[in-house]
Amino acid sequence: MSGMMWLVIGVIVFIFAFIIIVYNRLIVLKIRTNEAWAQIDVQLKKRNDLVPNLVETVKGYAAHEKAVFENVTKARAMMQSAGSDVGKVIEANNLLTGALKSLFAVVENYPELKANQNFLNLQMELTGIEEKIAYARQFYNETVRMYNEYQQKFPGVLFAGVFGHTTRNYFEIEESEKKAPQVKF
Amino acid sequence: MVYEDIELNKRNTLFLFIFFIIIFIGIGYIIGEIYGDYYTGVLFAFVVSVVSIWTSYYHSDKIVLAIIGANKAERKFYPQLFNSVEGLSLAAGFAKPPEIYIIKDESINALATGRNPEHSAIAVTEGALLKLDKLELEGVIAHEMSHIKNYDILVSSVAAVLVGMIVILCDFITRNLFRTRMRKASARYGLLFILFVLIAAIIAPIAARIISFAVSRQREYMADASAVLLTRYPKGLIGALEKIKKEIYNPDEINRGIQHMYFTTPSYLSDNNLFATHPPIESRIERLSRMLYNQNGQNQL
Repeated sequence: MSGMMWLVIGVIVFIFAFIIIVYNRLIVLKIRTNEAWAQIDVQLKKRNDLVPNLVETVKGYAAHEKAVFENVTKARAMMQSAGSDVGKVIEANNLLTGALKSLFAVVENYPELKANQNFLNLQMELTGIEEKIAYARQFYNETVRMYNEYQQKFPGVLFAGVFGHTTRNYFEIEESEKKAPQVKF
Repeated sequence: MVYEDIELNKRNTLFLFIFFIIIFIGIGYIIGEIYGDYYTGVLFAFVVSVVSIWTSYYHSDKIVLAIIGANKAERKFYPQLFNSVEGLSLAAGFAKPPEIYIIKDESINALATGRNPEHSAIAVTEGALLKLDKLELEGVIAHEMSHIKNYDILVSSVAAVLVGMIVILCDFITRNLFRTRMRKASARYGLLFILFVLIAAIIAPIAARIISFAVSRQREYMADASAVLLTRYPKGLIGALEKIKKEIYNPDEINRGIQHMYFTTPSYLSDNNLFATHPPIESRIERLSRMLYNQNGQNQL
């Protein structure tokens, strides 16, 4: 009977080791997506901090374009209140990107503004941040893909729910907004 | 997979350390024998090799950057370069971007060094900044970023420093010991011993060089491919390679001890040469073009 007992013990140890490996893998992937998200968040915050300055500068030349400023301010406020809710942040981001785009479209009508050094600096900074958001988004989506795939495939699918893992949202942007707002000179 | 590459590079670094200790102790033994006390020679060699390995692990980046005469870049002078490096480092998922250095050189080139992504540096020549457009430069930076991500930089930096040490030591043997002590030693140990010294003096540096070749060639194709994954734009890197192909090189400009670390080596050194550290530019372009073809389903070139 002792042979049987050893077999049972062996199987139990094997199953435990197996579960531990899957558990750790899930944790590693989860941490990696969180870190990737944090990198996007940093850039989004930087952009949010830049917006009031930009609005003030543009206002100095085009004070009567109220609708545009309202949209930008609204989107920025939404971004701030979104907190760590990925879905809301994505929505607010798309809104803000769109609002900024119409802001830059308005700027086209004000040649003096386009020559303002302060405005040019802000614009350059914004373009840099937009690029970084795009790169950080690329990495985030890659980590999310790995995390989600592991949760949906065997053996991860057996334990993902038990250990409280859920699939994450990709950070998708609207097709028309894939390019950073660019202003021709 | 990247993670397997990282393991492989860490293992190769360890092999490099062991290989270095063995060669160094061998050389210490020879020098000790010639001076009549092999024990001191071996002990001394052991201590020196451990110190060199420690130095090569923790400080090879600074040594390499000093050898090529690279200066730390300032953000206010190179805002675009900082933007590209920081963006690509986000795409690669690094916790912090590599440090940025500028090499005073008119040719288009770049290199990466360090021991891991947290302790890494990218150096770009002034020529690259001047002659490449933004997308081409990002292709080159992404290539170097891939070397960092794969830990290729660890092996190549450590190899550069340790190989340099072996070359210096073998020079020392040939210059000092051959003339003064050889007659005495050969009287004592015979012709076989002289042969041994000769082997140490000639083969060791060659063997050491071969390691740095092994580090390179295949890794370059890998880095090109990973670079495209980062930028999603093969044309940038292709454009940079096309421009390099047209350049006229001054052969003295590249230090041979670290040429395996650069983005490219002069074409007369790399074209189908057994001792080349890099694959020929044409075949790199060809592989990238194939990627472009697969990406778009049609050839856009």
